[in-house]
Amino acid sequence: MTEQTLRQAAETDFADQLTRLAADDGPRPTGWHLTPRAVRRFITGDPSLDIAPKFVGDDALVDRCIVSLMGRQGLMLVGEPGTAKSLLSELLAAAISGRSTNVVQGSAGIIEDHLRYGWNYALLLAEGPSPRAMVPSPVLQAMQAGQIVRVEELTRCAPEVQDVLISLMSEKTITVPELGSDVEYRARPGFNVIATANLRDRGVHDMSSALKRRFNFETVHPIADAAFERDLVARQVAERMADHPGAPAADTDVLDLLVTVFRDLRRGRLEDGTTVAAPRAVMSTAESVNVAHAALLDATYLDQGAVAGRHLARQLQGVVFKDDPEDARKFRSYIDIVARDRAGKSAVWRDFFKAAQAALGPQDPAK
Amino acid sequence: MTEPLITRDRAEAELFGTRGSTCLFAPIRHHSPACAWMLRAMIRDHAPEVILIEMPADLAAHIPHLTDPETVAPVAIAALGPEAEAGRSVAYYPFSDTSPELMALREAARLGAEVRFIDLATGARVKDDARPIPQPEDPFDTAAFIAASCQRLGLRDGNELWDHLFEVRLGEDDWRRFFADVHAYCLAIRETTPKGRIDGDDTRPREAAMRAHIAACAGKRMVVVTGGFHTPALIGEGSDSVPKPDKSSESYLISYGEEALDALSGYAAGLRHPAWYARAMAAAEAKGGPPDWDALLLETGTDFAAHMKAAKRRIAQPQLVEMLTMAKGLAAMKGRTATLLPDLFDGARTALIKGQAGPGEPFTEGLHAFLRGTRLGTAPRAAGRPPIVADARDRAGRARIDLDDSTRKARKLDIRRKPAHRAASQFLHQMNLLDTGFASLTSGPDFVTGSRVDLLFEEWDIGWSPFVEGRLIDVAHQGATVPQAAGAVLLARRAALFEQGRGDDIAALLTLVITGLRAGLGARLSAMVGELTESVTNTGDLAGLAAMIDRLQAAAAPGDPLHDADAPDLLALARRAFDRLVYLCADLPDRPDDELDPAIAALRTLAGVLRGPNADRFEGNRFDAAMEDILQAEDCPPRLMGAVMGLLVRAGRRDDGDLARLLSGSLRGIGGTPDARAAALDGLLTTAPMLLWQARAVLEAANATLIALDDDGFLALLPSLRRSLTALNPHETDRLAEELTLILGENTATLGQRQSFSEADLHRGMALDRALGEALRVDGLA
Repeated sequence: MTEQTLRQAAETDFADQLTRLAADDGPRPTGWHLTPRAVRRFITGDPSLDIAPKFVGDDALVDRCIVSLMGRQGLMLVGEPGTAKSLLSELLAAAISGRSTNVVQGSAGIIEDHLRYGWNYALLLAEGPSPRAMVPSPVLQAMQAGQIVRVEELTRCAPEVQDVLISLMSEKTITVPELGSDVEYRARPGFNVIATANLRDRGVHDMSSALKRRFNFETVHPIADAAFERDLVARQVAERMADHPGAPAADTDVLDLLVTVFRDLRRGRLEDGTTVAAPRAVMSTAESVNVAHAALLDATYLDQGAVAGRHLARQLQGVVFKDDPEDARKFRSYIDIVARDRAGKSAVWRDFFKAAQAALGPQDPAK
Repeated sequence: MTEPLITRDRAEAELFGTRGSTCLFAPIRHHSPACAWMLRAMIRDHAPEVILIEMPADLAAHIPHLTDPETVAPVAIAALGPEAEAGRSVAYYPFSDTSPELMALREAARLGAEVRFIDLATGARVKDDARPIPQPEDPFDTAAFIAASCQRLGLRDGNELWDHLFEVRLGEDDWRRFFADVHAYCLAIRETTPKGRIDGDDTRPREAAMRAHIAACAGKRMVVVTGGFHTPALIGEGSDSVPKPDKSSESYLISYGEEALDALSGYAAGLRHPAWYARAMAAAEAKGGPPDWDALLLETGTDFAAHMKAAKRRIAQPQLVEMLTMAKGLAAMKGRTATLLPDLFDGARTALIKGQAGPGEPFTEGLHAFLRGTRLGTAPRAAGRPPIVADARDRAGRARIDLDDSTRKARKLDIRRKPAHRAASQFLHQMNLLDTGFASLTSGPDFVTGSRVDLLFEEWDIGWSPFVEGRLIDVAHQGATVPQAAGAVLLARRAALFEQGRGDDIAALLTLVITGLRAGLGARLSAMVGELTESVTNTGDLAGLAAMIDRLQAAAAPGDPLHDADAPDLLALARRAFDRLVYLCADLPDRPDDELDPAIAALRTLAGVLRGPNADRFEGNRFDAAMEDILQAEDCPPRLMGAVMGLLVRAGRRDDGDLARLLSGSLRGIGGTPDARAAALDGLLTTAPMLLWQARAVLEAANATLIALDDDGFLALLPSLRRSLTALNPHETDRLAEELTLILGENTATLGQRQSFSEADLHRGMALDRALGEALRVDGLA
């Protein structure tokens, strides 16, 4: 019996695929649940085993990640927000260790204990320091089990906390002086660290070069292929709308428009090479899913119809252009020039253009 | 399961079983080391009487030179296209140590076998409109079959697929099986290439020609070496006749380079990163069999680290180890024992980049450059270089420029003191006139435009490359030596000037002359200098004349940086320009207002020359006399008067008093507009502003005049005065202000100080403000 949850871990979701792949009989690094080639097929897909691709567009990156994790270096996934870094790290952990839930979710509130171990204070007071009173961190648990631990958003942790990883990754050992001078936990084979980080966002910390040396860096780029991005958005929106069975599915033209707007603004360039001012807001695929989701809900429950350009136009501002007036100005010029031009040729764009213009309000003559 | 396109047995039968097994086909990929290796084995086993190679038939004359002991690959045959307006196109047919074609030639020489080139002649192939590219091989990357195979094997692109399937077999000895596989592979490519592409270019006629050549050799033991893409069309016997080689073209065997071989540099037929494949080939040759791929990886990695260290980017040892471990791991995951190019690049990417990777990232760029290589080959002397190439190489050698490496290097030349450096500089300028791309001047005096002529050194960025030779061959008809051809280019530019109707443009002509002098072509300039002399005698262009006198200082007499004893007498030319200018001065006072500014600028330039080290070249007193005449002229505009007076005072021909009188008289100027009254000051400021503070009497007189004005008069004049004084730069303004405070008896120290207010001042001001506000309120005006 499985309880209903919003989202399952990858190893639960794809349990049958992982079982099928476990049959691969190539060489397997100690502590790994699958062979490296099976891990690759799990992530990039294998039609012969009926495994759909889960991360598309950069197979070479996946290869490098897998080979990296076989070595002693940790793996650091960097890139713009919303480029599926966390998804990739989850898939890797699920395939390699059979478990993707050894996770530290990085934030300013993370302290050393979250990376090493803490205590059950009631037991600590009652019995004194003992293994029973110790609360192991996900890192320690992964070391003991010989699994992958994921550290999400590492650069959001304070630098002194990040630095805990330095000795931990080179020694692959955690000492517990409270339990005695020679008590230490050594990592079993199969242990490694996948961290994700954002190097450009505001509100993140720098990494020390000592820590950088212990990681192999891989940059995850935004999806290059427009058609694939549209399919991905469609699939993810459909997943989210599964709880709303009455909602009509999104039209391809509408999703095309959404993906085009996001791609234009993300790259600061139209398909024909014309440059447009790129806003500072993150124009990631994940954000476009948010917009599509909100637009679908708007269309289904407020307009009681199919989603159209006008719903996207209304949601775009709320979801993407939240607070930066400069961004709003850039978006306005995009609407005034690019969308107006396209509105002449397509009904979806015309709908989008009119609603966006109305939502933006009259042009402020002072500007 | 679909029917297989071809089986290995059938492939072997097609390649080796036709024509009574006397004729073996070797389908190759150009520059592939594995193909070269296997081809050698095939030739040694088969011992053919004749070897047929897919090369234009009219290039066969180069065959003996390609196997000359002096030849060091890479070399290329450069074939020139027909004369065209944009210059003749050059097609290159390169050979490297990994070329199967070169291997076949060497083996033929060893066996004493005949070699025939069996492709259409270059003349029949070179098109007028486009630069011809021999054997484009993008089908190796674009065919549908390639994409599908890559997907199935988890490989990145056609290049990796090729390496994965074939280059890993370098050093093995089963050539039958190898070529059967290449044949199947190329057949699949051909079958999945759109028919329109094959019919659209000259593929079909070329294949017909090749078939005819094969038929002509029927009965002999032969090996046919062609691109694998063509082999399927050659196996069947055809009834084509050998085309007559009537459309042959001019061609030369030249030195080529690894950079040029790299497909990225625009050469579309070949494997990329030639230095990498050369390493692999050398490793196989050293072992006489499959190379030790691990050792090759290690050696390549350490050499790359040394290469990066030289570029000031050190790779720490743990990083290097990680890079090589990654590369090996990636290769293992793809199921191959050989570590190949993509593994190296991926390993470097993962291990060396500590941050977000993007375009232009230095380690990846460095690895590209390192694996591309910079080695240059040598064409044998017997191949008969076009004389201009031999001349250029000879001169480059004398200038001690490295002809074995195409890396661009910086070079500093002391052109004023060292004759050898000067000769080198002239050679480089000649090569630039020929547009060879051989060298570019990064800094140094520019005598042509007259900027920074005080600099002592020229700094150049120099690199020999095959394209330099290609360009030289292209201009070979202009002359047998570099100076000859460069001279011809200058003459062509002169002719272009005349065609545009600018034959009397003395500035443009002078530019050509100085360009020629800089390139050491003085002896070839007599006609041009003659024309220039004639133009000078007739011109009314005061500014042009003054600029000419100024620019000719760089070359007119012995000791000048560009002086050339073989050049026509430029001092005479400069003197003639001087005479003409002095003559033209007489009608200066009558010139319209709008011509005055350039004329005054010309006078200033000439006066500058006359104050300079070369003053004795001209009769300065004649200029001064002409200036006096201007002053004496009736109706001389005040601006010109001020300017000329300034020059005369500076030259010591007039004293301060004269200038003071002129200035105060003009400023007082009864009945004139404010602008007219400030005009003399204007003129002075353009030619000799420093007199305002150097000659106390001048400033005192001007000051006294201004003080004597009443307030209204002063205010009327003020805007014009202010406008005139903007001609001064900030430093000069300070100097003038300093001098004025001395005259006015004020303390210079207080001048630059900021005025500050005390707290009491602030209170007084606020009280006043309040009182005013109150008053306004009382009056109902607030």
